[in-house]
Amino acid sequence: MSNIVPIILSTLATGLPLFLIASGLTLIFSVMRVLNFAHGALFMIGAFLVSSLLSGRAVAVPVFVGAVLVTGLAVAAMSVATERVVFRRLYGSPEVVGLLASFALLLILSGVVQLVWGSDPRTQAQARGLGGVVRIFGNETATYNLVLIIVAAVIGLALAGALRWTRAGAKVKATAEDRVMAEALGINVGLVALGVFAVGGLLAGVAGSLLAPTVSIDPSLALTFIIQSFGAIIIGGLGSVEGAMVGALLIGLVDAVLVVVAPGLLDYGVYIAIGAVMLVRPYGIFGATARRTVQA
Amino acid sequence: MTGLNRRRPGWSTPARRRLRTLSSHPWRTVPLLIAAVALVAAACGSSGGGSASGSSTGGVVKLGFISTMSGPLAQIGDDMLDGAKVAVAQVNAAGGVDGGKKLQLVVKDDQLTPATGAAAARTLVGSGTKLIFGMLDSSICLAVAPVVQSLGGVTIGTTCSSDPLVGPKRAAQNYFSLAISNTASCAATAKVIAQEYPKLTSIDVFGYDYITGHEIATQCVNDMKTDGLHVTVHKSYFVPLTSESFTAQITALQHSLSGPATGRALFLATYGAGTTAFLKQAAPYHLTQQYQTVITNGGYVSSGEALNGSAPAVWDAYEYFPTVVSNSRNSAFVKQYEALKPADKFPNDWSYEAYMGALMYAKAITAAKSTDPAAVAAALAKISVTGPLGAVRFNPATHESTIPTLVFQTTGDAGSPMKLKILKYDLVSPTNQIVSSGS
Amino acid sequence: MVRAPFFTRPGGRPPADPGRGPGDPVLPAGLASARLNRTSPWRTLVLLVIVGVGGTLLLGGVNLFTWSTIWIYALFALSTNVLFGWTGRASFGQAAFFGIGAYFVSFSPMKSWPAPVAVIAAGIVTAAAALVVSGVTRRSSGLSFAILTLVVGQVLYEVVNLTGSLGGETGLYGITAGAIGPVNVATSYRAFAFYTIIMVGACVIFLSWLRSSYLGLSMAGVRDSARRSSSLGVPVAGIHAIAFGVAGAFAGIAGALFAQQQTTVSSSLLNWSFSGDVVVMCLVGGMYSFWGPALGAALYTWLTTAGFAGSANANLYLGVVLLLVVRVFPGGIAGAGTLARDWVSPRLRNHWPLAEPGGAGRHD
Repeated sequence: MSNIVPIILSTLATGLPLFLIASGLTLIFSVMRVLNFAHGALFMIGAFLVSSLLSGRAVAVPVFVGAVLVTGLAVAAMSVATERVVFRRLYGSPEVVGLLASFALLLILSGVVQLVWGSDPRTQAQARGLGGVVRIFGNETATYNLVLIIVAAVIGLALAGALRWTRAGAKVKATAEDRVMAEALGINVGLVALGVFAVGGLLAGVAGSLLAPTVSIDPSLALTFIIQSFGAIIIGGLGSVEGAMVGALLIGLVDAVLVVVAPGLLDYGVYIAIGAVMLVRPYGIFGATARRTVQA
Repeated sequence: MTGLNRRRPGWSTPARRRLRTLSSHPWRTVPLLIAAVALVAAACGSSGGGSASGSSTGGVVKLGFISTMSGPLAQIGDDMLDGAKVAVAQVNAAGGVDGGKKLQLVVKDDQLTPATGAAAARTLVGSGTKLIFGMLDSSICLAVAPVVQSLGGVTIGTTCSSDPLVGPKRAAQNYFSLAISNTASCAATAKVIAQEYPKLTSIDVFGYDYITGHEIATQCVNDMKTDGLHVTVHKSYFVPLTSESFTAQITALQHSLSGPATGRALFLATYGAGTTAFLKQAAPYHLTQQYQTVITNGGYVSSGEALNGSAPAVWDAYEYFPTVVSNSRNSAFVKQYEALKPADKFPNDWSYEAYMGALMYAKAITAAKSTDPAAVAAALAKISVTGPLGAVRFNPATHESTIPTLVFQTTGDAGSPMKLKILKYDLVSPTNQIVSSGS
Repeated sequence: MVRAPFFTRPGGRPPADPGRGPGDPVLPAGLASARLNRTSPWRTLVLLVIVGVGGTLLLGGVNLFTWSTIWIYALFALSTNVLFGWTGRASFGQAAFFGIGAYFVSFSPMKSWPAPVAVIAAGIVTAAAALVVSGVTRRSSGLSFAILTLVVGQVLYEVVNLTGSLGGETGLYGITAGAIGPVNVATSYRAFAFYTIIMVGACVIFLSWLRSSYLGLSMAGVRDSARRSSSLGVPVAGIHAIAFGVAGAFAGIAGALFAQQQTTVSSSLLNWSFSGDVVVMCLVGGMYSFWGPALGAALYTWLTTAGFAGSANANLYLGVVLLLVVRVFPGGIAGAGTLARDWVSPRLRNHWPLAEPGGAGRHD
């Protein structure tokens, strides 16, 4: 089928950037048990920051990379601030309280963005040299799509690797599994929480600044990818980075296939994916099963 | 253990004794009672009293302005308000209305929600401001118009374009629509495109997946057929309203194209962020260059602006563009608008619509020599106001305005303040005649 | 083991509250005892009559319209709290049921049925829909449940958005409240306000009776610990389903009343942001109190009609208020009194140690 390669490319091009956003969300959830709505706002701030840094102009690739890193660090700092001010005190509350606190944060951050940058839409030009197309197996795809795919894949591998093979990663996983025991074993849980928020913020900021050249940068950006990111981590299992990757790719795949097969169902793409997975595994593909509280 | 022996008041306890326990836990009941009182006070306070005083107190005539002043679309509401402010300033500088009374705007936020817009309208009309205008979204116009009607007021919808709002069987009799309807804008677009590209044979559609998006796409294509073009829809893709990632659709479109660009058109039934994102993501493929022309409908200018000079050549159909004409009225409008909001620099369609709305009210009030809604409504059906793009009046039967549709082609221009420059334009009258053209 | 029909009301006092220390989770001491059901349907009836009739007679003009809106949102919030505060399942899709109720009464022939009949029919239809959704989501809990319900709500929203005969995103207008015999409630604000108060009042009395029955107690038990309740013989899945059905039914009734009041509906009624709004109402008002959500609804109505109106930063202020509530007032407005008492009375005791230890929850 001549459609296979374009479908694979679309899947990767849609799914991997989505993974960038979803990975931060799921990481924060694993430790804090909080689904951070404000993550979308951090993503949006990343896009606005990079466009302000570069004044929307096309710059050389190294400059662009530098701007992306600076933005990522700035957003990471903001994320850490939100942890200290808001989420730290909410440990022990019902999960929903954290959700509502993050929703409040979303409103606040969106309001601040509108105050600082106004609500006029703007765009960021592509970095010089990244604006063309490449041919892969006879199919054209935008060079930048390829860049996004590679960057997101590398980040994903690095994240998964760090969680699996480093001591810091072990501490994160321990805290995620059982916070009280981790603390009892001498792990500085506060530092882990801080670190997780920092990395989550970094991921959001990097995602925002990387995607900035492809979208309209305006206050609605915070909500644009939220539903799909939530969908990705629900499908993959809350708290699992591998799950976020699988979930994001699945959503990308469903979208890519629907465009060809049943364009009328595109709106429902995410929901179809979620529904199908939920029926088989209610806690997501990599989610815990019998370990969780049993409902009669 | 003694506590367990005392019986709580249950079903068998006489009502008297049950009621006494209401005050047995003051820490719980007191805040509830306070809150209940505050509740009633809030219901009172939120509508600012219920007396229906006249719209004019002494030498002031109030116009109620409702639009989206908060949230992601706040900019549009802001632009509309600025246009209205320019109109009010102009009218007051020229001596006011109805023998010297000054115009004043009362601004309310609808938060892009029909219920909030309707509540704002009720508050305004309830407190005596019975002349309402503004509103951005058709669902809000549809909620506000019947409310204002039932309370005896008049509404001018400056931006809403939905068909049930106009016509002899419209949703509210005292509703006047300033903006061009979807029907009119499609008819005008088709007319111009048929003239510019008589050899068009296929159209690819990319739009938002909602009723109006589908309707506009279908309507415009049909109108083109009526105007003599032998076009068929080749490919069409509709995306969710909040989506901004279109790789799949763009590559699919790219794939489906073959042969020279002549005879092919791309119709974008999106607006705002969707149009911007599409054009950005299509740029690497030079997708728009593989079509003879790109057409869109409605508020494209903000997307074109956002593209910062890299916008391709796109036909749009709306009502206004600052550099289309250079007469004294337009210069005055543009200059006063720039003075109001230096950062904003220039008015757009929404500002123009609100500007004209306020001017229509001013003229109607003076013509009717009163602010009584019935008299003003009657006057609105008769008066005509000459604005930057010519004279505008309301059709007495349908309450649609005679604003000509501006069908214009722009391309990105990094040097100009609007980041866009006009390549060609046509002003099309409501009777679908091309009134003037230029480039 | 408690062996009594669910619908009877328990007698006796709730056990004395053991008190909580500084390291315990967020809820202050008094709220724990407040969590046990203390609402009496008679008290509710009296309160409703006084506030309802009093308010409707005292207010006039457009204020009566806002008054009716407050009651409708209050019913919506109270119904959501059946699932949220009573049973501990946070559903972010309640707007879908509100919307189903609203759209149900927007079409003929339902439009011309006597208004209360149409509204009750809407409630029944919505209850059925809620039970279906409950079945679909029965295996999930906590955040998975929240997101699944959000998804269900969004699917319904998209369906309405994409269906021309449902008006799409522009919506429908011209909805009428059918006459009840010779009486037409839509003739005046006051008439409609009385009608709203009677309908909402009946629902609220039912809810307060439900809350104070064994069924309500079981819901609290299921909320606090599903495992323990299940081991006590409480059918947890059944309780969840009943809670969902009740919440859905009354959300549908609220939506139907809303449509009759506004005379227009649009797909924005089904959006997840409205679902989020109603959960916020419950939280801000106080999810552990019976009346809390009603207070939250009143605040919300005020915010959307008068408060912050015209300010471009409305969302910012709303976010700050919400954050304050979440951080400082976990019990919401209704819990403010107990919060204040818990803050004040230990300090009073320290000053005058010979004074009687007071406060509810101790032996009276």
